[in-house]
Amino acid sequence: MVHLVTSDNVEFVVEKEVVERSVLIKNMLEDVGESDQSIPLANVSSAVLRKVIEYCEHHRGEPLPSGDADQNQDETRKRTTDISEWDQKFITVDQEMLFEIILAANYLDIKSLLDVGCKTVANMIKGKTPDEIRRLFNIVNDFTPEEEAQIKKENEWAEDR
Amino acid sequence: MHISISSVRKAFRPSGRQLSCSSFEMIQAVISFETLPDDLLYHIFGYLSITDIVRLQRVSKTLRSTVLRDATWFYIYRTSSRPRIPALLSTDSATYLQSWLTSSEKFDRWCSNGPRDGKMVMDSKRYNARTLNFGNKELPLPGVARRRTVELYPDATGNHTPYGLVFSRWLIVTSICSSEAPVRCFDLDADKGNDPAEEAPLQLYAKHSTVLYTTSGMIFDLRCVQSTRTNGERVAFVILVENFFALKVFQFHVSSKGSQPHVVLQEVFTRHDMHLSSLREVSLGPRLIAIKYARGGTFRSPGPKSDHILCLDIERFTTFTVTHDSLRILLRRVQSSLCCRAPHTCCCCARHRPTHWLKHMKSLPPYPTCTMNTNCRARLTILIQIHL
Repeated sequence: MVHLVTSDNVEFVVEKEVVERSVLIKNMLEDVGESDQSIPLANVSSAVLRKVIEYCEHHRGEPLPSGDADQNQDETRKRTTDISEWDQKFITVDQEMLFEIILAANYLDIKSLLDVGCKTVANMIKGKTPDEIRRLFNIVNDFTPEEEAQIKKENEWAEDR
Repeated sequence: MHISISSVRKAFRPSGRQLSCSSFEMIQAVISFETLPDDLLYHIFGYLSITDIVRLQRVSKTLRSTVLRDATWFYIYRTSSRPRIPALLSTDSATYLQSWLTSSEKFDRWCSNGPRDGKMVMDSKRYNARTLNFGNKELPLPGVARRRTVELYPDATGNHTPYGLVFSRWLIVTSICSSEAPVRCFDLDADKGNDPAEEAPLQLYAKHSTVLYTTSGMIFDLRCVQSTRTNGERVAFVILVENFFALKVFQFHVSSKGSQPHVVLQEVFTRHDMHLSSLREVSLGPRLIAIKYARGGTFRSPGPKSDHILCLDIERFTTFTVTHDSLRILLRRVQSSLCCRAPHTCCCCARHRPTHWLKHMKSLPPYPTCTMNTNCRARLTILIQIHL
């Protein structure tokens, strides 16, 4: 069992097999060896870690993507944005949580979870107009109307679908 | 790809303002799409189309600066599924990569969605010449009573999209930006049935085009030439450079299939040359096609002194090449004419002083279909014009 302590000082006790989906923790455990000492995760809050552990529990036993596979995946741009049914349900959270999961997955180095998060964000953006994107992510339009018209003109071809 | 607290903070404070509260929870509470660290944004971009990424520019200043950053385009290029062409690998200009990637996307959208990206303006007033505007290029063509504007996006080098026009009617286009981009043919007179006084926009939808040739690689250059044979027959050829090592010549045929004209390309000649980079000039007389092409270098900047001339006899499809050395003799425009001294014997003479290069032409075999009488003054003029 591995002890993890979150940024808000909550301790989680997780099976080693589950928590080793995180390459960061896996490497850490390999480096320090078995110990009862808890691992501090200063960048992850308890709410997020709960979600991350839920993900790791569900995907336990699945092979970790190797470094090579990683490389190949990165090679091709037109990667599929399909997300499995369970993952889809799992990632149906509010935006703040979604971004926190992405940040945590990145920090903990859980490639598959990072992919799920980023695909979700990409799917939210795909095919949307700038206005829709602003509303979606609550972004303030800080362009003057003239500036916006100028940018719109520059990239006219990308405007309508 | 690790994020330290400080990098998250930095993302939160792009303007460098001081935070009054430095607790991590506070920072996390306001993390949003805009303030994600760059490497995560790039990861997300990896799942988006270039159109989507370009569109993000208009959302906010922060996103615009992210999209326009050089690193963004290097990343997109690195993860792009588009073929990497040597000329691009040697470039380190992000602007260039950006324009290359966006213009290929434009071409794809143009091909799949129609003229949304390419603007087509048709002026229904009758003119004596039809003008085709291709970006900055204009091609005035006499004898056609309509004026039309076709805008094709320039490629990343700022040059034209490879295109050609045959018999003032068939627009032949391909893209150097997409792999396996086919050679398409549009019938510019497809809407001829309309009342000419009526304004009808010309539709350049891919579905209205005929695919003339499909390649498994890339076509880097394409030219069309047309002429009239000695017997009055109109002929046209399409010449293209495929994958930097094949120079192909196709004859363009039009036949009628039912009420519709049917166009095909028939391959008549292929030359493999390892260092082909681009076509310079192509011209066609009644008998010969002269193809001036560049060897070595890249298609953006052909190597120095790399021009070669290939002459193809369209009666027999035999060729002879002109080396660079002999080319240098022809520093000015050379106009030569073919004269027919006797049936079945042809030779070449120049209006001006014969040059080394013209000696090559003397070895031309006779016209197999020569029906000219023996009057050697009956000159078949305008054979080859080479602009140097």
